[in-house]
Amino acid sequence: MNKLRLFTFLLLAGLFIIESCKKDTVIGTSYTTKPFQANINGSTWAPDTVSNTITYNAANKTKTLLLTGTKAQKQIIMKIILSNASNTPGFTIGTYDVDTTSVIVKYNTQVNQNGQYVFLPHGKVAAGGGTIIVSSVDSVQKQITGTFHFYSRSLAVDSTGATVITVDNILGGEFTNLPYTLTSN
Amino acid sequence: MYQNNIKRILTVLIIAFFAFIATGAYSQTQTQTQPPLTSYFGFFGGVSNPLGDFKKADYYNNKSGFAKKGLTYGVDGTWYFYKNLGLGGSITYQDNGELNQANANGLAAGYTNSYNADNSIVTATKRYQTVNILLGPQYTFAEGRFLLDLRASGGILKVFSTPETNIQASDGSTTIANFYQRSASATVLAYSGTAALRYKLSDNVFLTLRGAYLYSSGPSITNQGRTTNIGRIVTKQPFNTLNTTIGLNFGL
Repeated sequence: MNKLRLFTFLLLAGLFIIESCKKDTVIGTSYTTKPFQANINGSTWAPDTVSNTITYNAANKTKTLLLTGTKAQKQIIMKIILSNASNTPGFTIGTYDVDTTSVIVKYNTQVNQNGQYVFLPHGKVAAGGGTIIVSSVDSVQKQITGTFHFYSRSLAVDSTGATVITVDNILGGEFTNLPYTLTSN
Repeated sequence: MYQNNIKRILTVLIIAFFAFIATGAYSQTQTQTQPPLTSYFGFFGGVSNPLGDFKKADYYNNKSGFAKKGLTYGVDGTWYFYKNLGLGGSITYQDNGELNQANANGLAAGYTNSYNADNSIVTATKRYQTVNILLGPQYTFAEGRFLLDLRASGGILKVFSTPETNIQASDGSTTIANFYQRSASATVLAYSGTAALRYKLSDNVFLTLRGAYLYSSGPSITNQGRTTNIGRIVTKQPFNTLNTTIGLNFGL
């Protein structure tokens, strides 16, 4: 019987040692589920101020999608102008490459200019520098869904006279069931 | 993984226990006069099952403990001072696990929402490890080879560690919150109710199935690095468990 007691005691002692040695690390990550977001230079960015409009101009027969998002001293503005458009509540789905005339994208940052904080372009998004894909439009609920990516390039001259090129990468952008307002003039 | 092994071992032991009882009952032909109860001590091991808020994994419930089923074991004994009335005591170790990946992801999603952040990272370390030392009156019902022990006890819960989390919430490349919910180490009061069914294997050896309910208001939790009280904030972690164990007791 003494052997049984000793065995049980040793078993419990062994279990205690094993339990005491447990050390695990678990890392959980969560990204925003906001309907409008992008990855700017490697960091997730979801604007808290969003404006999304589709405007029909009867005189020019153009329809313009203007999507603006602003947060944390950063701003993205995307504009797509459809020509020969009709006055309907939706918007044509498709792939729109930046051309700086009918498809225009801007990446702005907030700067102090003469004592006032204003958003100014942080470089330029040249023709071919990005793409907006409108994948679905719900003209009844007035919601639009799509993706986008582009890069904005700026040139500067440093103190040594050398040209410094800065590229801001805006990747993995998406707008999902984003409400829009429709106007015509 | 080891919880499944515990379940398997317990299942086998329980089946063996009842098979043994059935054999013993068959061979016992007549009821004998019950001899005086002898004081005993013993060892036990089994599963600690978290209950209530301690078990819940709800970001929006600050009492949620995210506790898991885990291993428990310890020593137990009773001294009979008047007929079937005794004074029982136990020392029990129990492990109630740590945050898993789903828990960490859930917390991260909660903080992302609470802070209106673009993303959050929750890093979880450490686990629930405690020892409780309890003492209380016990009454034993005896019938043949079976003894049913009922005990109410109180004592201390020594908390060695609780899960620790670091929360980092960011807006773009800007960190908007970085704080810790520290692991707790404290000694707090605890209460317990225990029911145990002992089967007499021989004059001085008993096989025991035991269920022990434990409650404690738990240790205070320190939060470090917070600049606001936004989001889930835990300041105290109650404990609530039911330990189901099997063991051997030895008469003194």
